[in-house]
Amino acid sequence: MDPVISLITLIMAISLAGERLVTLLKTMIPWLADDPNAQKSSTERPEIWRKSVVMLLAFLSCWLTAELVKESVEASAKSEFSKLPAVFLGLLASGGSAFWTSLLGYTKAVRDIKVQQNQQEQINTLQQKSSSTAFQVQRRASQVMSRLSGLKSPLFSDTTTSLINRI
Amino acid sequence: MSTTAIVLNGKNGNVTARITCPRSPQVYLGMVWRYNSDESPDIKSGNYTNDEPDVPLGKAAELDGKLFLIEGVIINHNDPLPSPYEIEVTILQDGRMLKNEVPADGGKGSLLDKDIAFVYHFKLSTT
Repeated sequence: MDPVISLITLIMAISLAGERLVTLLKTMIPWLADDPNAQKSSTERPEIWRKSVVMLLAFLSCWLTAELVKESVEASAKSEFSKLPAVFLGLLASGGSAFWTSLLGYTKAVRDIKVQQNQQEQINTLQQKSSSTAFQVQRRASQVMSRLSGLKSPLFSDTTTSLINRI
Repeated sequence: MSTTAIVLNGKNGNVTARITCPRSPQVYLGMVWRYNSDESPDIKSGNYTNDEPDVPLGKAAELDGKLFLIEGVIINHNDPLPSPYEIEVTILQDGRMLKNEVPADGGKGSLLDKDIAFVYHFKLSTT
């Protein structure tokens, strides 16, 4: 697999696991959960604190998840990205799984386009080679016909060897 | 060299030589030469290609005792692998087949990266 896609997949998985942890914490601590019915302004100090704490928890959850999976990822993956520090992976993963899912889809689309471009180039090369061969065969056929037309009548007992020598 | 004897059905009708390569898509071409019965050159009957395989030989009445030489070349495609070919010569009188034969000299084989020649000799006579 492409190293970038591997990295994005890893971060997305860490992000998903981190979000589960945050959800668990929100369930355990109701103050952290956002009440959809409450009319709160995002500029109010308690709301700012709540959001900050949730973001910090998200980062810590992702960091913890990254620490937990890092050992097994390092053992299985061979890319340089797998050696990134767990804190860095946690920071990236705290951006949210939705972002990384979109990015993964975009990266895969770019890879698919590259694969298609390579296939198209191969087809173009084959077509060029094929048309070049066809052109050479037609040119050779014209040369042979021209030589045969310009020759005098051969002996009736003419052979293939003699014919090849004449053209 | 062997010469195939072909007997025409009466002295009426037009005689045609058809040179084909029905089992493989090869590029080939050549000439059909006409000779008198003493093998002295007479006329060039015509040329053929894989796209235009028919060569009119003339009216049956004029062809009694005439000898014909079909010369042909199969053009190579510079293929790395051998490509089989089999040339068939068919002599027709008013569209009816009188003879269908693979030339013994070079009419069948494999084409690689060199052109291959074939020749076919035949004699026409009328009943």
